[in-house]
Parts: sequence; structure tokens; C-alpha cells
Amino acid sequence: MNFSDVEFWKQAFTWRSSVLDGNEPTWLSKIRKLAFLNFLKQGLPHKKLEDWKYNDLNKLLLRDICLTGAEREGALSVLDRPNYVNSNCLVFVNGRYCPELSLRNEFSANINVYSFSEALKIIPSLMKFLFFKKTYQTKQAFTSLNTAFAREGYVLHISREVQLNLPIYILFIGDHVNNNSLMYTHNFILLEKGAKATVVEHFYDDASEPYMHSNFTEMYLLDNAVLTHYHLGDASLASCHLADWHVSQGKNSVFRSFSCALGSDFSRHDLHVQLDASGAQCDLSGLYHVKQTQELDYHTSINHVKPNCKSHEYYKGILNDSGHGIFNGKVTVYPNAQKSQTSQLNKNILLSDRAEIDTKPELKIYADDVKCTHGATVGQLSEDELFYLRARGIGEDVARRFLLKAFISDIVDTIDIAAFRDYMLNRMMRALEV
Amino acid sequence: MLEIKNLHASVQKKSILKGVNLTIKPGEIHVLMGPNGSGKTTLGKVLAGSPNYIVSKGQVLFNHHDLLMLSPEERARRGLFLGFQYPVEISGVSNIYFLKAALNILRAQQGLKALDALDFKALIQKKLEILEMDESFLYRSINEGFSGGEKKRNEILQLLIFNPTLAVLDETDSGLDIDSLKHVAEGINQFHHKDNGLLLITHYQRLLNYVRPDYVHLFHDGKIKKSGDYRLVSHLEKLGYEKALTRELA
Amino acid sequence: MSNTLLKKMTRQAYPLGFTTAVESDTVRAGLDEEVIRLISRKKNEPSFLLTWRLNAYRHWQTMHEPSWSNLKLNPIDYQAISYYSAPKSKTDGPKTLQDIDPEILRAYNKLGISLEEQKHLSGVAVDAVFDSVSVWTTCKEILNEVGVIFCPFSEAVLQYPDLIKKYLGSVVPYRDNFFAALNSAVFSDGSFVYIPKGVACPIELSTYFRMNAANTGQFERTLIIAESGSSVSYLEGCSAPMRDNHQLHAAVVELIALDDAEIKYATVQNWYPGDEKGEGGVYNLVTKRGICRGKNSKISWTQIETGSAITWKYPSVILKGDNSVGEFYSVALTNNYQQADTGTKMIHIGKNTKSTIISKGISAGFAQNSYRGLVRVAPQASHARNYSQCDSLLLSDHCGAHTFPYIEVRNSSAKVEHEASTSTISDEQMFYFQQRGIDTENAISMIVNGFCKTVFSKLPMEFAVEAEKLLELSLEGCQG
Repeated sequence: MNFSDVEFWKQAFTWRSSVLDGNEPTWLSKIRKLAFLNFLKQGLPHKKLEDWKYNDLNKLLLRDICLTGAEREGALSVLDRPNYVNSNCLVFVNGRYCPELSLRNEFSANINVYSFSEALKIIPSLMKFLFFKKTYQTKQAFTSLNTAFAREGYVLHISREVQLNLPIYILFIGDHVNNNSLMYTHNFILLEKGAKATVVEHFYDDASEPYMHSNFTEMYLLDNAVLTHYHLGDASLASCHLADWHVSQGKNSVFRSFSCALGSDFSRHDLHVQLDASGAQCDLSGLYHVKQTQELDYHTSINHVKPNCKSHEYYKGILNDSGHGIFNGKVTVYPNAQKSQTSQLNKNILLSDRAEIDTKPELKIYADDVKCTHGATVGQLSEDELFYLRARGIGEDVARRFLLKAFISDIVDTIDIAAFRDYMLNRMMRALEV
Repeated sequence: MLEIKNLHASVQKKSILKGVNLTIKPGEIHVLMGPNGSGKTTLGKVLAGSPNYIVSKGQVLFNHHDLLMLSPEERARRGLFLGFQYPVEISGVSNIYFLKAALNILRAQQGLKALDALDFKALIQKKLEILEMDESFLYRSINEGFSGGEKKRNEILQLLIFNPTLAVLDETDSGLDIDSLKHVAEGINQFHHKDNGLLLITHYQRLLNYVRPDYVHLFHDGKIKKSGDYRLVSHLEKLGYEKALTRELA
Repeated sequence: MSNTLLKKMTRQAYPLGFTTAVESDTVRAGLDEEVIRLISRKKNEPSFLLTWRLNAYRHWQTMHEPSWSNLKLNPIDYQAISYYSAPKSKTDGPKTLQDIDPEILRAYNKLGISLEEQKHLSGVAVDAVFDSVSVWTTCKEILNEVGVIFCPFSEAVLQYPDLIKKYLGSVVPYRDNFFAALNSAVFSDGSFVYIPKGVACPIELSTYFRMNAANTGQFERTLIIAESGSSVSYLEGCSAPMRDNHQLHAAVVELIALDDAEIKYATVQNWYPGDEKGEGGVYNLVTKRGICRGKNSKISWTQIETGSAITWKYPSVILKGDNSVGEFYSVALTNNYQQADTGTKMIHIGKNTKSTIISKGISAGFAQNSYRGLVRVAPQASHARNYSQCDSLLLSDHCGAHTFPYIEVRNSSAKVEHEASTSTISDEQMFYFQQRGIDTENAISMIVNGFCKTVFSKLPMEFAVEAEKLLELSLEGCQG
């Protein structure tokens, strides 16, 4: 049986319920049921859906799946923490929380950092509140499935006016992952008024067999909150990576997101930002690189619901071999969202004739006093620049990488955590080498 | 020609003009000086009819007509000109097209025939020479990408072309180098004659080295605090606004 | 822009909305194979064409109306429409102007188009299409001299069946989309242009479409073939009477440019847009596509879209020949409750192909205006270049402006650039104009004209002025 078979999902859900029901709060079982029913109503994505128009769904759906696979915990080999991690780290191996590998500082009572399962025990009412925020009604099939199945993840809750200066690192590691296994993580970030935090989500593994990881992070920024969110998708080419981020912003809050995608045979990133109150600001950026037969997709959507909000988007991609990149940036300005300002830019470099990029920057504007721009470019490295470097004695390969590094540098420079930035850049450059 | 009586005006419920009284007769040059935020620019905008301001009290007569009842374009057509402190940029519309359209509307108002492209070109050529402006300037979009000095010269070019009966020039002299200032002053002097009036809003004495005012008014907190002749200018320059005002109040 | 400027939302009467009293030969409403056979019989068509029509009809029955556009469309009852209406004439076809119903001549004169040779716009040949048939083509002698064929489509079917057989449906096959299939089944007339090898057509060619009869649809078909080394400039104009119900216009235009040929196709579309409440108006659902089949060929679309309740059209270019060039210049203005979903497709297949897209959308009232475009670079299309610029101007806070550019690149030597911006006229800009004596309505029309300048400059001289006037007219009353 495979992903494209709804019967498979029905059986899986029945199995899940038999294992979990009774071990978790009844309200949660109910939410999961609602989410699953919602999934059945939506059905699996198909090519005719605008949002999945360019995806090679065979990569994703025609895959045999063994549902129990994610349970195994293997010998530890990829489990050394990356060198940039120096504090506050939660580690998840094969989708399960590993307290023994995590580094947890003593936080004051104003800062709650838990794993999903801990949070259900320690702060159940907050979890209930977060889960009832209607995500189970989403139109995205994979988000519904995540809500129905996910048993782990992280929960970060910061009280009013509390500023967390050190980043929180979340490592999602695949270790000796079973063939065709399926893992789900479901996370929450809640910043109360005036709170401030930085979160890094990093995905990697040592897998050589296909598996899928679906990660869902829901973020709430209340008035004046500031959240910086980093993501590094660096799983092996055997994997499928689904990343789903939902952000809802209060008055004058600031959300910054940076995402770097290098790994996975198939990866899909959905980032949805709701500018729900006036003065909210979001700044989204990303870098991606595909090679071999990788397919990578960034779908961002920003809703300017209230006046005086600002959004800025800047994504750059490098496409090599038979890699396929998809970028879809949608900005909607609602009626009455006057004085909205939005800008969006997607730049791509194609390095191979077999590579493909499909980019679609979209604007839907229903208010008149707005300043909106978007742009997209597809091109290649400048032959003149390449020649200049070679004329100075630099070998072609090195010169090429030199120019590619220059191409991504303006986005790289915006990353505040120096150690993470260096690590990410190093991984990116290594990906470019092969 | 202009009589302002006890004029009060506000913007977004904030009261800015608090009882302005001023009379300008044909042939007179008046200068309005005063610290930043005293309401000088507001006075110009209110006279021109900016919809951003609400007049709560008072009266303005322009050639014996109630000015405040008229739409901004009607005020302009009756000969009131405002030289903007910050002229806006309007992309896509060429300067020459704009000037010709506006001039022909004014001429129609005065019962004159519309100028064709050739006559208009001849008229504008002379004015350009006075201001030492390059012709290429005409084919650029209105104020788009103009330097501060170019924008101000463009305002004076319009003053000369439209030839209004009363001109209010809001800090037309600020942000100019010496040469530009001379050209602007030259333009103003060319414009002025015994039948029209001028209200200059300025911070500095330097423009007044070229243009000789009949009256100088010290503006503060939404009204005229002190009026005098040319000598008031040097008095103000010497003391600064603050001292001059405290003396005045004491 | 502030609401104070927009209190009144009135529109002056659509000046081209008169009806003409002519006796018409109108086929009963409804669509079935019998109606198609009847249309074909009325035109004495060869059997290959009837077969093609029937195939198209059968295929159409298996299709559904497209639902992907950003339009809100009332359901169309295809059985309530009459698919053929022609003014009755005494003879088989008018031999001289005297044979044409004087009411029709008067109608065209009212539209500013004279069919009398001595009075026609200098340098322009006109084909006048009234409802379903072409009523007269001017300037035939000048064109005959150089071998240019410019005639009603139905005449071409009889006189040049080989050309029709070869090229009809070669760019827009009847399977292409729902409305193209419908058109292929029922099209009644349109224009046919053939420019022989090496000929630069000496005058502008122009077709004027007039929809008159009530409850009829207009389904014309235009086919332009430019042989190697030839060139032609073509202009299409349209209008319709004011009617309460929606009229359907589903045309197909096919352009074929061979080696070194150049086709310029301009449209000034001013179908009845409906009233200020959104009642009535034409549904303009059109498929226009050209193919640069030969090397170094060029196809350029220019469109000024101010009319129609709904516009759904994407004049496209398939850049098949090496070094071929495609261009799309568009101004789409929507006011009141008009909706436009328009744009282009540039399909790069040949090497060193270039395309340019300049789209200017203006929305006022409650209108919705969408740009939808596709730039596709095929794997073999090395060194393809595209530049796209899509700007929107919003004139009220109830309208919408949307941009949906699709960019698909599969060749690493391609350079594709897309830029878009959305803006409004600020209160400060408006006050500046007013202070110089220019009222809001004039100020808006000056700004709008400036906004559209780059596109107007692509129109033939005679029509650029027309287009500016048209915009002014369409904007009238959009300010209070």
C-alpha cells in the first residue's frame, strides 16, 4: 500500500487510535479525529490543485510506507550535536524526544520549553488552548495528517515582556531510520506581549533508505513580540521533508524567518503568515540548492489583514543537475488593509540544462493605498565575471563557487547567529562542491 | 486683494492656526518668518484649500470673494498660486504636458484662446532662460528624480508661466545653493509688479537680500506675533526667534 | 485614495450603445448539430469545414467552462443564445455600397468608421463585421495590386480553401479550450489576411466588429498568415449596443509568421461594459495566439481593453523559430463592476528567442483586474530572454488588482526578469494638480495616460489618440 491510497491512511488512523486513545487526553483524540475527517474531505493533493501544480507527486505519493517504522531507536552515530549548538537544545531522534541528548538550561518560570509529551502533562490547559486554534480545519491535506498523527514536537511559551537572548536549538535527527518510515512532529511557539525569542530548527540524518518527516510549527506572536525563526533542511537525499509553518501576528509584532533547504529528494515548505493586527511586520528569506533529481518547493503566503503592516520576502535559489525548484509567493492585501507595504523578490540561478525552476510571485490586492512590488529573475552566472576571475588565475570550479557564494551572500549576511551562519554556509558550499 | 480675518484651522483635531489676521494689497511683498512648527506651511496649504485641514473659524477674502468656499482648483484658476515646500513627484506625466494643460485651463478661464504647441514652446523658452534651466527638463516626469534645487526652480517656472495675482511661496529658498538662489530670486522679481501680491514664507534673510519685502511678520504658535518693515528681518536674524519672541511677550 | 474623492460613482452613458434597426436573418436560439449544419449550409461551406465544425462541437460537449480564472461569471445558458444573425440583404452579397442596408452604413458612420472609399481613414483598409457576417471590405484595389488578400473569412473559405485547410486550427486547435471549441463549432465570419512572400502590406488593415442583434453571440474567427519576409499591421475594434442581459463574444484569432515575417496586431476593445450596477455587458472570452514559425519572425500584440463586463483573454506567442520575437503590450482599464483577467503566454522553443511583456492595469469603482501571464522556456530554447513588467494603478478602495505571473524555465542559458508594482494616486499628488487649476477628473486622466504611455506608443498613430480618448471616457465619473 502507498501514500496515494486513502485506505492506507484509514488503516493507519485506526491503528494509531488503538495505540494512543486512552493514553492521551480525550480532547486531543477528538481533535485528531476532526483533523482526520478533514483530511478525508480534502483528499490527497493532486496536480489539478493550483498549489500542487508543479510538484512531482509520484515522488511523494507512490511510495510504500511502513507505519511502525519510526518507533525504532538505533545505535547512536549521527547524534553528536553540531558545533554551533552551545545551549538550550532539544533533540528529537526519529521523531521521538531524547532528553538524554538534549541540553536544557534552568529557565525561570517565565519561560517554558517542553517536548510535546511533557507539555501535555505539565501545561495541559495551554496545549488544549493551542490545539483548539482551528488548525485541524486547514485545507492542506498534510497539515491535517500531521495534526492527526503527531505525538512529539516542542513547545515554547514565553511570558509577557520576557526576552530570551540565547537561541533555542531544536535538532530533528534521523538515525538508522527504517525503510519507508513516517515521522511526524508538531510544535508550538507562543510569545506573549513584548516577549522575544530565537528558534533554530535543524533537520539531518544518516539515512540511505527513504523515509518521510512531516514537521508542523504553529507560532503565535502577541502584541510587540519579536520572533526570529531559522530553519536548516539538511536531511539525506533519501528523505522526504514536509515543513509547514503557520504564523499569526499581533500588533506591532515582528517575525523574521530564514530557511535554508539543501537536503531531501522531495521537500515542500509551506510558510503562512497572518498579519492580523496593525503595525505587524514580517521579513521572510531563504536560500535553496537542488542537485541530482531533487525537487524542492517553497510556498509562502502572507495575508495583510489589517492596515499599516509590512512584509518583505527575499528568496534565492541555485539549481543544478536535474534538480527542480518551485517558488510560489502569494501576498494578499485585504480590503481596508490600507498603508500596507509589501515587497517580494525571488532570484534563481540555473547551472544545468536539465534543471528546472517554476516561480510564481503572486499579488492579490483589495485595498488602494498600498505600496506593493514583486519581482522574479532566472539567469546564470555572468560569463564576464567568470572570465575575469579565471584571467586572474582562479580555476573554473573555484571561480564558479566564488560567484555562487557572492550570489547568496546578501541573504547569508542577515543571519544573526554567527556560529549557525558559518555552519549553514559551510554545508551550502559543500553541497555546491559535489 | 487678500484679507485673512481671525483664521483658525486644525489637522487631525490638532489646532494649528489660532487666529491669523493678515491683509495683502496689490503690489505688496509680505514675508512670514517664524520657527519650525509654528504653522507657516499650514497657512499656505489652508489658503490653497488642502483637504487635509479643517477651518474651524474665520474668514478669507480673495479679491472680495469668499476663498474658503472654493475648491482648490477654483482658487488656482482665480489666480492664487502656492509654491510648495515639498513639490510631489508624479511619474509618467511629462512636465511640458502638465504645464500646457494647466496653462490652457487658466487661459480658458480668462476667455483666451488655448496656446498651441509652438506658441507654448516660445513662451516657455523665455522663462527657461531666466531661470537658466535646460530644455530637457520639460520632458521629464513632473518633479520625478529632480534634485531639491530643480524642484524649487520648477515651482518658479510655473509661477512665471501661470502668472497668478497672488503667490504664496513656501520656503522656495531653502535647500538652494547660491546660484540657484539667485535664479529663484530673479524669477520672483520678474514675476512681481504693482498689480500682484506675494507672500514669502522663509527662514532666512538671504533671499531677502535679493527680494525687498514691504512687510515682515513674525509667526509663532499659529498666529502673527509681530509685524514690521524690512528692518524686522535683521532684528530677527540677530536675536533668533526665541529671544525675539520672549522680548515681544515681555 | 481617500473616500472624499470618491463619493459619487456615476458613469456617463456608453456612447456606442445605440441599436440599429435592420432586418436580420437570425437562426433560432440553441445549439445542436442541426444548427451547425445550418450555419455551414448558409455559407456554402466545403465539407471539410463542416466535418471540422462537427468534430469541434462533439469535443466541446465533453468539456467544462474553465474555473481557474479570478472571475465571477454568471452561468451562461448556451441553449438560450442564437449562434447566427445576419442583416438581410437583397442579393447574395453586396456588390457595391448601394447594396448594403443604409441603416448599417449609418451605424458605422456613427462609430466613426466610413465604408466609403474616399472617406476612409487614410492608409487603413477596413473589414466591417456586423453580428455574424462581414458586410464590406474597403481598399480592395490597393491590396490586390500587391497580392495581399484581405477579405471576410467566409469568402476565404470559398476562394482559398487550401490555405484555410492548411492553417485553420493550426495555432489554436479546437481542443484547446472550452471557448475555442465552441467558436470552432459555430464561428460565422471574421477576417482573413494573407500577405505573400516579401510583401510589406502598404496600408494598415482593420476589422471593426459590431454586435447588434439581441440574444446573439458573436463568434468570429480571424486568421492572419504572413509569408516569408512579409509584414503587416492589423487593428481590431469592437463595440455593442447596451442590453440588459449579457452578450457572449467568443472569438478566436490565429497568427502565423514565417521566416523573417512580422505581424503587429492591435486591439481597441470597447464592448459594452454593463451599467454602473454591473447589469448587462458583454462577456468577452477570447483565444488569441500567434506562432512565430519561421526564424527571425516577430509577433507583437497590443491591446487596449476598456469595455466588456468580463474580459478573459491571453494573446500569446509561440516562439518556435530561432531568433523570433514576441511582444505583448496591454492596457486594461476596469471601472464599476467590470472584471478583467488578461495577460499573455510566451512559449520559448527556438534558440535566441526574445519576449517582452508590458502590462498596465487600472482599476476603479468595484472592478477587479488581474494580470495572468506565463513565460515558459523549453529545454532546447537556449539563450531565451524575457522581460516582463506589470504595473497596477488603483483608483478606489473597493477595487482589486491582482498579478499571477507564472515563470517556468528549463534552460540554463535563459534570462527571465519579472517586475511588478502596485500604486495609487496620493492625496498630495491630487492636491498639487488642483493647486495648478486642474480638477480631479483631468488630473486622473493625465496620470492614467502617463501610466499607459509606453503601451500607447506601440499603437499605430491614428489609433493612439483614439485610445487616449477612450480611456478618458471610461474613467469619466469614476471621481466625484
